[in-house]
Amino acid sequence: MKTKIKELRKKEKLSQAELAFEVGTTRQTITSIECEKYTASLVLAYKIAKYFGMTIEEVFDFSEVED
Amino acid sequence: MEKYRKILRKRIYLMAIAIITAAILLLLQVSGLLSTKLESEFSTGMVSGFQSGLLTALIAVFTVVIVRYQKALKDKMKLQLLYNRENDERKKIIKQKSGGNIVIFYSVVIVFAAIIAGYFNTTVFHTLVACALFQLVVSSLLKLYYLKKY
Repeated sequence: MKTKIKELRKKEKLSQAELAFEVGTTRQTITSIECEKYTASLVLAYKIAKYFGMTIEEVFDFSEVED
Repeated sequence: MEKYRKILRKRIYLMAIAIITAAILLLLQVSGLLSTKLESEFSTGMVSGFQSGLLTALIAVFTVVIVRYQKALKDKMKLQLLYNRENDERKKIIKQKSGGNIVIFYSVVIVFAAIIAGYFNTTVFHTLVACALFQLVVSSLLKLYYLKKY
């Protein structure tokens, strides 16, 4: 699943490890989500979106899921 | 996080008991009080070598883990990192798919059975050890595969 995490991170000058720490996961998981290898759970997606002050739909691209 | 601290303290306590037990067993084995006598000298040496090696490894691994837990209990940041690592959803999925805890549990049971069988029969000992190793190797390979996939 495509996400805007990388862009948002760069904008906030935040490393993967820092974001992982804030949302209660590991750096490897953030890497996998950014590389579209792993799809975050609803809880993790919510935490990430909440951290950036956005909604889940704004951070994660659900267009492929809708098809 | 206080609940997690309690869990870590409980784990440290249990591992300390395991270390003491293993150290006593190792001491008894080295001193010759708990020795195995099998059909050949080679078998006796191999079985007792395996047993003492396993006990030494258990002591070493548990000591390292206890030190890590103690450090985490003193440092809030390290505690949070450890908690995140243990509760990471991706890691949980990989663990689940590769057999995870159940394979480790079965392997430990089989190895303990092998140690006991080692006092009576070398064939059973070798079979059980091979079985545990096979399980662990398959699980590790699956873990590697899923680590690459996710």
